Amino acid sequence: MAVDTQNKGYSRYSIWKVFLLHFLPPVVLFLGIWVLPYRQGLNLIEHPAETLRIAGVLQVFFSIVMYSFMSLKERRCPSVWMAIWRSILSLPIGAFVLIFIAIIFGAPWELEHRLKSAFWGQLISAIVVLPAGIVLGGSWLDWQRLFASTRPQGVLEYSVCIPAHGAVIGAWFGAWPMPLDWERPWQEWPVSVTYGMAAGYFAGEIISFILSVVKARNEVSKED
Amino acid sequence: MELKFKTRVLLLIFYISGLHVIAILFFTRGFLLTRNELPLFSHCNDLHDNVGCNYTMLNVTALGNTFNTVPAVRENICELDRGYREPPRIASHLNSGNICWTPPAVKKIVILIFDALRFDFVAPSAIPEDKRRPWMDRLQVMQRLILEESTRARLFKFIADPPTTSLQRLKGLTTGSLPTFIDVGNSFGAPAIVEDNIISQLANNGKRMKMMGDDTWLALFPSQFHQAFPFPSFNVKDLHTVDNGVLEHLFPALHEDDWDVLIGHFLGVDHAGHIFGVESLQMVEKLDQYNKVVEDVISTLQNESACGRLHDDTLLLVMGDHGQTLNGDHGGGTAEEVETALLAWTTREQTHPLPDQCEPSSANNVGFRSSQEEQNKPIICDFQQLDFAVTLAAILGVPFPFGSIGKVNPELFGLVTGSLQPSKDTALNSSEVDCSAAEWLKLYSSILCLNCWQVNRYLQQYSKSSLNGFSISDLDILKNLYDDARSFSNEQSTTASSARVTMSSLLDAVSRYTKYLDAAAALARFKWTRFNDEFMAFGIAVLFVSLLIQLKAVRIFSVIPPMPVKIEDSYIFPLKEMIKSGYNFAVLSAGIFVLVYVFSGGSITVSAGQFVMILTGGIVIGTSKTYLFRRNLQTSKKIYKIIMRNVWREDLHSNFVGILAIIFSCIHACSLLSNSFILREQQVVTFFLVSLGIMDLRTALQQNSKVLQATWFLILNFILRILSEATLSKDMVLQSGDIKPGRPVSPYTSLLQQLSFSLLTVYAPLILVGYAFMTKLSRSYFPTRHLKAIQHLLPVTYAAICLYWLVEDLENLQLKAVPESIRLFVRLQIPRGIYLCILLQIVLILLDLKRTVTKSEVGLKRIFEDASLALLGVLNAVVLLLLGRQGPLVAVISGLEAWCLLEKQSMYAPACESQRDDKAQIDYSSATVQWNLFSIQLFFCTGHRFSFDGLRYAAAFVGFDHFNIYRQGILLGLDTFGASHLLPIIGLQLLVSRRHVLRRNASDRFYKIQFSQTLLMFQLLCTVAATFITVCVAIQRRHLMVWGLFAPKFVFDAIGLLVTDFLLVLEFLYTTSPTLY
Repeated sequence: MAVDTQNKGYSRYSIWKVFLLHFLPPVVLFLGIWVLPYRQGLNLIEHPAETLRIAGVLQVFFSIVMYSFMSLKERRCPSVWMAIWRSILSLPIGAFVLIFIAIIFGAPWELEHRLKSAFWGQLISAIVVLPAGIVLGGSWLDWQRLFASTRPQGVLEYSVCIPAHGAVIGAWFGAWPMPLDWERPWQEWPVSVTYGMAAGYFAGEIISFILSVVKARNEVSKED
Repeated sequence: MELKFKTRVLLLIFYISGLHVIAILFFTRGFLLTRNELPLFSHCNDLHDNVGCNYTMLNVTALGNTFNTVPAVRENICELDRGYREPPRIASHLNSGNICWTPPAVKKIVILIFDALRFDFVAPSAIPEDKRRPWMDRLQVMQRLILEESTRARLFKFIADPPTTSLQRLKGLTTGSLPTFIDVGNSFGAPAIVEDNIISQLANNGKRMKMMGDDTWLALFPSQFHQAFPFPSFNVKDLHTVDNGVLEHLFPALHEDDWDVLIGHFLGVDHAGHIFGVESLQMVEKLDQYNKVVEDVISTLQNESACGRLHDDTLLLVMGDHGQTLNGDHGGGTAEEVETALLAWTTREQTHPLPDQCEPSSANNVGFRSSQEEQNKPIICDFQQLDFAVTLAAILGVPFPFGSIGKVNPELFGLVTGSLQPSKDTALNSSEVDCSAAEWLKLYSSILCLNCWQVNRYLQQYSKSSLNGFSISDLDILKNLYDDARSFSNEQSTTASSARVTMSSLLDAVSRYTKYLDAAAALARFKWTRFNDEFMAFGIAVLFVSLLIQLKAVRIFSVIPPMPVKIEDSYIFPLKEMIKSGYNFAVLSAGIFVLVYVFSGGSITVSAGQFVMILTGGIVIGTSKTYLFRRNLQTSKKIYKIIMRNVWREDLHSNFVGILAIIFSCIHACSLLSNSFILREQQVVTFFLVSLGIMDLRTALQQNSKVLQATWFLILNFILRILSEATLSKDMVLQSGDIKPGRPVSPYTSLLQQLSFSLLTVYAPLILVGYAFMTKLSRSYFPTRHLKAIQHLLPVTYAAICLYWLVEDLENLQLKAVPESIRLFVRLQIPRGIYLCILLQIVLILLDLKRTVTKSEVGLKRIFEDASLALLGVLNAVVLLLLGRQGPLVAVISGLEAWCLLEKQSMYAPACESQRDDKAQIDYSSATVQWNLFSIQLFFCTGHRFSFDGLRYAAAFVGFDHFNIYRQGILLGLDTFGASHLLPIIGLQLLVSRRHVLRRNASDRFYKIQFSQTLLMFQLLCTVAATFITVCVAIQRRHLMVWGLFAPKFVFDAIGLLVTDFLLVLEFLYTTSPTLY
C-alpha cells in the first residue's frame, strides 16, 4: 500500500525504546491501582475513591513526564512549558467528557458518587486523553484521524492511540457484570469498569507494541 | 396467475406472522396454564334437598352421641363434662340457625406457617442416622409429640402442587384449588383473591381471625381479618424482622380470647434458604428457633387446656407452605420443593390410639418405617394441600369453598372429631369400639357426600361458564363415578334407614366417594398444573423456523437492490410451490402418523391437540423447506460474487457499524436469559443504544457531518433516562399513597409552584408537540385537501387534550370549583370526542394515500413522508391522552431523539447516486437496531414495566366509567404498546425516506424493496428477542422467579410480537398503496 512505501519513522526508535514506551505506562498503572494503595492499606473495592486518586495522580505525573519528553524529542511539541500547558488543558476536558460519556452509558449521576466519578475520570483521562493531548496538541485533524478513524502514524501515535482505544473498550466490557445480582462489592461503580479499563489498556499496549515492531521490521526490510 | 411484487411481500409478512401465531399459541398452551376464577361463593343455605345427602349424621345429637357412646371418654372428667356441656351448646347453635354445613369440631385453631419448610427438617425419611445433615430432623418437638402423645398429635407429609411459590400456595391452601399462572379473573389487576376461599368463609360466618407475619396475606385478603400484624416480606436479606414481629404478637394473643383462628406466618427459613442455602449455619439456627417456638406454643396451650379454660378445645396446626431445594430455590415441582410437613395437635385429650394405617389412596409412605423400629415409629400419612381448605372448613363448621376440589382428609378429621377410624389390621373385637367407629364412619361418609356434591357443583359450573372447560368425555367418566357413589349411598339410606348400617357398607360408601373425589382432583390437576413439554418444544421449534425464514427474507431484500439483473418476483415469495409442498408434507405427516398408529395397534393415545400439532408441523416443515432451500439466488455465480464483494470488501467499513449493531442486539437477546438483566433491561437497552450512538458519532466525525445531531442524540438519551427515573420515583410515592393520582407535584408545594410546574412540564411540551407536527405538515409539498383538513383538525385535538387536563387540574388544585355537570362532560365527552376525531383523521389520511397518484419518485417520497408524519401526529395524540401527565415531556425529548436518529441516516446514504447506482449496498441494520432499541427504551420511559401490576389500568378508563372488555382492552393495549410499538412502527417508514436517494429510472420498486427490508429487519429483531425469552422461560420453568419475572416478560414479549406483526401488515399496506405512473 502507498502508506508503507515511504518511511514513517517506525524504525527511528530502537526496539528497547519501543519496549519501554509500551512497558512503562502499564507498570505505572499497575503500581497505581494495586501496589501503592496496598502499601497504605487501601484497595480498589473498599476504598475506590482513595485508590483511584492515588492511581490517577501517579498516572498524570508519569504521563506528563514521559509523553512530554517523547514529544519534545520527536519535535511534536515546541517546549516544556507548552507540554505542561497542553496537559493542564487536556486533563480536565478529557475527564469531563469521559465522565459524561460514562454517565450517558448508565453510570450513576447522583452527587453522592461524585468523588468516585471524579477520580475515575482523572485516571481514565490520564490514560486516554492526556497522552494524546500532549502529543497531538490542538490539531483537530490529528485528533480526528486518531480517534474517529483510528489511523495512527508512527510509534508515538501508536502508543497513544491503541492503548487508549483498548482502555475505552475494556471499560465498556467492564460495565457488563454490573447489573448482575451477585451482590459482589466489585460490581459497584466504578470498580469493575476500572478493572476492565486496566485490562483493555494492557491489551492495547501489547497490541500496539507488536504492531510497532512489525511495522519497524517491514520498514527496515524495505530499506534493505 | 402471476402475483404482483406487493402481494408477494404482503404474503411473506402474513406467512411469518402466521408462524409466530402458531408458535406462540402452542407454546402458551403448553406453558401458561389457565384457569378461570369463578366469583361464586358457597353459602350456609345452599344445602337443600337436591343435595341428597344423609343429614342425620350431621345432626348434632349424633355427634353428641358419638362422644357419649365412647366409654373411654367418660373416664376423662373434662370430656365427660364436655359431654354434658356440649350438646346444649351446639343445639343452641342449631336452634338459632347458626350451624352451617357441618357442626364445628373445635373452638379455636392456631395455624403456624413456616415458609419453605422442607419435610426433612422435621423428619428425614429413609436416611440412616449417620448420614444425616445437621439441618435434618431439626424440629424434633414434632416427632416427640407424635411419639409421646400419639393420641392427640399427627404428623403429615404435606404435599403441595406446583408452582411452589408462597403467593400461589397461599391461594391454593385457602381456596382448595390449583392456582395457575394466569387466574383469569374479574379483578382486573388487584391481587386479592376473588374466588371463594376458606378465609372469606370464616369471616362471613362470624369467626374472628387474627393474622401476624407475611404481608402477602393482607394483599390476598385485604378486609377479612379481624386483626392483623403484617410485616414486609419483600426484603429477602432480612431474616428476623417478620419472625420477631410474629413472636412479639403471638404469645400475648394466645392468652387472649378475641379470636377463633390465629394465623402466624414465619418467613425466616425461606429467606435463610434464599440467601445462605439450606446447608448453612443460619438455617440451623432458624430451625432451632422454630423448634423452641413450637415447644413454647404447645406448653402455653397446654397450660390453658384445662377444662373450661381458654384452650380446652383448640387445634394447633404447624405447617409449611412448600419446601425448597438445597440452594434455597422453590417454585418448581421436584419432591424436595413440594414436600413439606403438617403437624396437627389438639389440646383435647383422646384416649384411643389413632389408627396406624393411612387411608389406602395415600398409604405410600414407606420410608419412615424402614427397619426394626417399626413399632416405635408412628406412621406419617400424605396430605394433599388441595385438601386443606375443605378439611379446615369441615372442622370449623363453615361452608366448603365453592371452588375447592379437595376432599376432607380422614386422618385429620378423625383426629379432631375424636373418633376412631376403622382399622382392618388390628382386631377390634370390642363392640363398643366397633360401634363408635361405625358412628364416626357415618359422620365421615355424610361429610364426604357433601364434599362430593360441592365438587360436582363446581365442576359443572366451571365447564358451563368458562371457555376452556373440561372435555365432555372426562366429565362423563366423573359423572359415572358420582352417580355410582350417590346411588349407592341413597340405596343405603333407604334400605337401612331403620336398621343399623353395617360397617362394610359404610366403608364401601366412603371408598366410592373417595374414588370420585380423587378422580376429580386428578382431572383438575391434569388440566391445570402440568406443563405440556411437547407443545412447548414445538412452539420453540416453529419460532426458530420463522427466525430462519426471516433471516433469509432480510438477506434477499438486502441483496436485491445492487443486483444488476432484474429478479423475478417469485423469488420473494414462491407461493405456489410453498402451498404445494406444504400440502404434501401435511398429507405425508398425517399418513405417517396413521401408519404408526395402525402398526402400533392403536396403543398410542393421541389427543386432538397433538394431532393438530403433527399436522401443523407438516405444513410448517413443507412450506419453510421450500422457502429456505429454493435456490433462488444462484441465477449466476457472477452476481453472487458481486454481492459478496460488496458485503465484505468495499463496504466493510460502512458495514462495520451494521454488523456491530446486529451483534449488540444479539447480546441484548442473550442477556434475557438472566433474571438480573431482565430486571434492568432499561439500562441494558440504553447501554447498547448509547454504544451505537457513539459509533455513529465516530462516523459523523469521520465525515464531518451531522456531528451535532449525533451528539445531541447521546445527550437526549441521558435526559430521557433522568426523566424516567424521576417518574419512577414519583410512581413510588404515588403507590405509597402520599399523593392523590392526577396531581403533578406533591401537595406540600405552594399553589403557584404547582401551577407553574405543570405548565412547564405538561402543557408547554404538549403544545410544543402539537405545534411541531402542525408546522411540519403545513410545509407539505403536495398539500391535498385531506391533508389540509388534518392541518386544522390536529391542533384542535391537541387543544382538546389540553382542555381536558386543565379542567381536571383546576379541580385537583382546588383553584376553582368546577360545576359537576361540566366536569362530567369534560371527563367523559371530551376524550370520546378526541377518539372520534382521531379516527376521522386516520380515515382521511388513509383515503388520501389510496387515491394519490404521482408521477415522480420525489413526489412519492414526499407523500410517504407527509402521510407518515400526519399519522404519527394523530396517533401520538391518542397515546399522549392515555399516557397522562408524564407523556408530553417524554414525547418532546424522545421526539427530538428520534429526529436526531433520522437526521443521522443521511450519513449512511450512498454518496452519489450516479456513481453507485447499481452497486449500492443498502444496509439498514444499524438504523433498525437503533430504532428497535429506542422503541424498547420508550416502553420504559413512558412508565411501563414488564409486569402485570405495572399495567396502567387507569389509562383504560380515560373517557369511560364502565368496564367493557373489548373497549377497555383496546385502550389498555394502546397505552401499553402505543409508545413502544405503534408509534415506532409508523415512524419506521421515515428511516427509509430520510436516506433514500432518488434514482433516475422512475420506479417505486426500489423504494418498496428498501422499505420491506426495514420492516422485515424490525420484525426479525423483535422475533429474536421474543425467541430468546421463550427459550429462557422454557429452560427456567422450574426457576424461583419464573412466575414473578420471566413469565410476565414472556407474555409481554409474545403479545408485543403479535402486535408488531399486525402493525407491520397495516404499515406495509398503507405505505405501498400509492402507485407510481
